[in-house]
Amino acid sequence: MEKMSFYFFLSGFATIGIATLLYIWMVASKQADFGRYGTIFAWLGVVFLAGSLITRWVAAGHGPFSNMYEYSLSFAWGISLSYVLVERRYKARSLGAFVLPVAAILLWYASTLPSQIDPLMPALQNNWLLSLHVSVAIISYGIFTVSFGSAVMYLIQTEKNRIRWMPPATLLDEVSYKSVIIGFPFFALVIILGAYWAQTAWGRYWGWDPKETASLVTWLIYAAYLHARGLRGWRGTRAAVILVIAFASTLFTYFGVNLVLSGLHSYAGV
Amino acid sequence: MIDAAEPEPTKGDIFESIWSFFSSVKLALVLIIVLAVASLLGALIVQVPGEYARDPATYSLWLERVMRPKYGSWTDVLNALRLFDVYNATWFRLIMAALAFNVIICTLNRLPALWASVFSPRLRMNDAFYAHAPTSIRIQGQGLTIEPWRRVLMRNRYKVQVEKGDGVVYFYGDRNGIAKLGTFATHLSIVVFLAGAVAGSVFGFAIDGVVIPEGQTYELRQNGLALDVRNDNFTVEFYPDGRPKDYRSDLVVIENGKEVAKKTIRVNDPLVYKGVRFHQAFYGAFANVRVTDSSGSRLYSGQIGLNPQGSIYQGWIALPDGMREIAVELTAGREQGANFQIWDAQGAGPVGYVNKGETGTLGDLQITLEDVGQYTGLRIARDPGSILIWIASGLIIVGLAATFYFPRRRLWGRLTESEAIVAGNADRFVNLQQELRLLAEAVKRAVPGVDTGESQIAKAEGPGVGRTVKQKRR
Repeated sequence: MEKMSFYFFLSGFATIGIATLLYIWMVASKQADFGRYGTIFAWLGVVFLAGSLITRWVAAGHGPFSNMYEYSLSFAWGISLSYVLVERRYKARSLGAFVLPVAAILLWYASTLPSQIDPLMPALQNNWLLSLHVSVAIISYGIFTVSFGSAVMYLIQTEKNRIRWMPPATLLDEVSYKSVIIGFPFFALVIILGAYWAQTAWGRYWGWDPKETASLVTWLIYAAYLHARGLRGWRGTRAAVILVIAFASTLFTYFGVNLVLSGLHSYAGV
Repeated sequence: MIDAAEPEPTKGDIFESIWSFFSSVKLALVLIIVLAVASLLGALIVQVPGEYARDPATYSLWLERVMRPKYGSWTDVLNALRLFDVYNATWFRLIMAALAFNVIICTLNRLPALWASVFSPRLRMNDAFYAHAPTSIRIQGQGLTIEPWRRVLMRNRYKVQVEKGDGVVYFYGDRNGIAKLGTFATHLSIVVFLAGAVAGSVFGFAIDGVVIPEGQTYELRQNGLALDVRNDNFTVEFYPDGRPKDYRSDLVVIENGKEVAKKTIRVNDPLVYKGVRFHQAFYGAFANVRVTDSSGSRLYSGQIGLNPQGSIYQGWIALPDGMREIAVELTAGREQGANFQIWDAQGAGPVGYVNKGETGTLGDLQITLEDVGQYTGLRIARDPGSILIWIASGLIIVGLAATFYFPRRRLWGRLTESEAIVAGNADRFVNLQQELRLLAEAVKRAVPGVDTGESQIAKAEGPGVGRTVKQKRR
């Protein structure tokens, strides 16, 4: 089962990689056909990565969320899934050239990490909380990645719609905003589930542990975005800049804390 | 001096200006950003451990020994700004308080109008509204009635109210109106979170690092509580690679001489009695050791703590000559005796094993192992504020979901025998124009025999893709 999971991972890595290249190629050559194949490969990638996660879940007996390999794999799946759903809805394939590279890089990173199944340390031995807390996190991070990709495109496109092959700025703004409003409540749930788990395992719901703090900072930046958007002069470019910062903070929450800072979450290192 | 007879000209204005200052979303934005930056600083700069922060002498020692080498002359600046203890700094708490105040004022400012729009909305607008609304639809025909509109709208989860005028029927449809109150749940939750945190720190307590050797009892005397906690047994199991797999303590809580609670606690499974939570936090071993030299004079006598390293517990005894140390090692699960080894400047020296209650000879030293065993490490806490935290959690999730997943649509219709005009507005990228078109089609289909006339779309579609409108299946 563990082997099967790894083969699924390799297939997912390959298909997401090919999809990424096809989207970029589509943008570079301005031939829509590449984009259509890109969509097929992206969907295949979503299925393979889901297969990898499920088989690994079965093999380990718990959610595959206990080391950096598993995090990166599930994060990449969350991004790919969010992307294909957004693409289906908005028919804006050029978004793929900006969102999927993040998933491809994560999968490449995962491929450099040890992939053995680690036994769980006592604090992580809480099956339903582990699965729920991390899987909700993956969904929100995946959606936030879409809002990031769209915000980057907005910054290139600008309000003047400078670039013809990109969707109009209004659509990019809408994709960013809608992604955030879908992801934001999920991310609040991640923090609350984390607080509940911390209460159960460590005896306090909040302790300013670096991971807790970083997730709060990320949530606050998205909250700032939501409030800023309603103010005059903050729509458009400034809002897109906030989203780029927010995504940097998301990545910091996801990786930086585990790899750079120490704290109660640092068991979750490589 | 202010003459008592004079009116107080400034009081109202000050109140007004404070009110308008705190009712602005811009202030909210600034406070959120400041809070985010401050929190981030606390994660990036090493924070003083809680047990050092309480005692000023220990704190300044920590500052000199640990922070000074790292931050140099910046240490004083960072310390003056309380950046080594951000989350307990007064300025940090003031930001939180300002945010809570901001939230309350904004809520009070907006609640009445929003409440009215949900519970006592205007059912009928003036004629210009129907004629010029940017999102509207018009149906012409004969014998038009309100009934099909009411049915179709209700099927699409609109709440419909009707007001009859002179030969004209007005109707008002509101979908997800109640979800508009979600924003109050969300914002109120911020205040409840902070109230919960304050209640916890005022009425609660937390004791970290409670050590209870096997068979011994810890006396908890806190906030009027008198509980004795006995550790009957501690067990730890390991994975083959030496990492702990499970550790648990059999705890008994005694109150007034009676055993009132009993449980085997684990990391994810605490014992709770009268709101006091006993958490399995850490573990280790202890050894009571006496060391004498060949002349019989005592070099060391006392209890040392042994920290777990994989399945081995290790600790050190420093001898008074300052030259030698004794390493003490114990294997988890075999606490009948311990290994001792002398270390000096040359490195490792003689090794020996001593049984519990016996004396062994190691080089020129006599080592007596008076007692040895494992201890459990607990965190004991009571937080009466935590209930507020979970209430706030429920509020924020329900509030955010209502606000973001249930966008509101409002429609105002004006109906005569021969013409229906429906205009409206909606939240966040709902393609109301398209929804209106689908609703109108459903209405037309629901009225067989009526001339469908022509429908006219007042304005081109905005961005976004409309939500599906349920249509009656035929």
